[in-house]
Amino acid sequence: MVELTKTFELDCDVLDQDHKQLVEMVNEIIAMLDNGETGKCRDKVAEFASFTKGHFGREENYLAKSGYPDIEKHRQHHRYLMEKIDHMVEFASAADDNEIACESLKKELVFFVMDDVITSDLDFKSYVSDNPAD
Amino acid sequence: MQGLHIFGLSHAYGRHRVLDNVGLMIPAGELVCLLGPSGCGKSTLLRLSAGLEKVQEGSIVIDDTTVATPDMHINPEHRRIGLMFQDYALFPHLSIIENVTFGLLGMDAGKARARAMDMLDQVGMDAYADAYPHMLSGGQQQRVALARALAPKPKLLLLDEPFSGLDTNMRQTIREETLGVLKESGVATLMVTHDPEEAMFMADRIKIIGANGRILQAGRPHEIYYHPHHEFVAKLFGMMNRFDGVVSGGRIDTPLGPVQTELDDGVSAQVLIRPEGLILESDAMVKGVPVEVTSSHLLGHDNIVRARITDLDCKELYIRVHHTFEAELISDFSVRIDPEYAFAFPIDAAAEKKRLVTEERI
Repeated sequence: MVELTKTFELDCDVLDQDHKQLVEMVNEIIAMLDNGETGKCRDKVAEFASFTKGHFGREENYLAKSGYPDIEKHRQHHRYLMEKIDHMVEFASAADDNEIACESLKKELVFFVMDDVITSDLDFKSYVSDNPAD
Repeated sequence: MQGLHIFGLSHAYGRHRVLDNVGLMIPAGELVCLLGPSGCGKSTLLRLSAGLEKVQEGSIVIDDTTVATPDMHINPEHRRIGLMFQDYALFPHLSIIENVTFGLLGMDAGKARARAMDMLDQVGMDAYADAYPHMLSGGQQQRVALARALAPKPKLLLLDEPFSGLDTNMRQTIREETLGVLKESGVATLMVTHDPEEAMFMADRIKIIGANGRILQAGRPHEIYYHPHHEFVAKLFGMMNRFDGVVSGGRIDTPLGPVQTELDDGVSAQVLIRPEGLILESDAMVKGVPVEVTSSHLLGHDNIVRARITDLDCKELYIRVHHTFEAELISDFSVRIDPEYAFAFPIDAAAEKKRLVTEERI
């Protein structure tokens, strides 16, 4: 089970709420995979992919409004992460009869949310704290 | 969250910055490899995680407990970490069982012995409990070092080039065994290595650190190898064939044919192709580019073949051939590109100038 403990928080409500939602979705998907509900999991991963894309857009808007100087670098990072999402969607499609796809998907989801998305976002924590957009 | 969480970590020795805003997260039960060249700061990151050095900037959290910031420092013995080094670091004057129980201070002697024996059993060394380190081979000593590191049930295991002191065959065996024991233990593991093959074998996730001390890319081994985002990452896995060109219509023309790219038209770019991405064929029906083979070196599991494009003044190609190959028996070869192994990156003008100057000197 993935937990969004204090050290992962940006102290920026709008983005922390999104991160919380991502973590909840990852936990739901992992539970589905553990219960063999691969059909439901496929739909949930598609929903996760869509929500993540929306989150990236919201985050980039927020950073643009706050004048974050490294926004281009972060946009590029998001573009790379979109490739990872495509792979996870493929794993979800294969998870029905493929134990390796199932395990890789679980692992990748956790690393994706906790490392690629949230830990990377901590790079701008102090900046948005000093320069909030709202 | 159980595991290791590092964020915003920067570190310098004097004016030389070795880590620049590094972040990573390792959940319990997973193994992350830091891969990078010598001097890129990967061992510094390990030492900071262990508490062997003080944090200058950033935070380190183990199992939800902050263990280091610039303002606080929990000593290594209170972090619940296990350490395993290249040189095993066993105490020569203690027996194997005494080495393993050494980290179990405070535990009842009987329970400590039982726990140590259990760990020695897991690594297949229980029969050597009363032996001394000098009586064991390098591989056996490393198994004992693993048992000793895991005996206190650490929250985090830190491995610093743990297999580089072993010979090739022993290294493969020990790393397979180590991986099995680590997965069984469920401990979060951070391993540093400069050996790409070792990283790909061991890691759930690889983090590439560049010479500038920054994380350049993170992902599954498959992702790092087949989808490198940087020239540096692509080159980390060995020699490459390079062709320069300008992007036009979403592709770059090379002497071996066009390579598709998402780079913008007009960008000066380099195409890097792994040796296994050049397919050498001797079938006259296959439409590749004719080449002359200039040498071939059998490496055991494959061959490295050098070839030159016929009628073209161009650098030698490096080609990896996996099947049985005897250049002496064939006269007509052609080469084509496997796009899975071809990557295009924009040419960094400053880096390019430096490279050309270096090549001229050589």
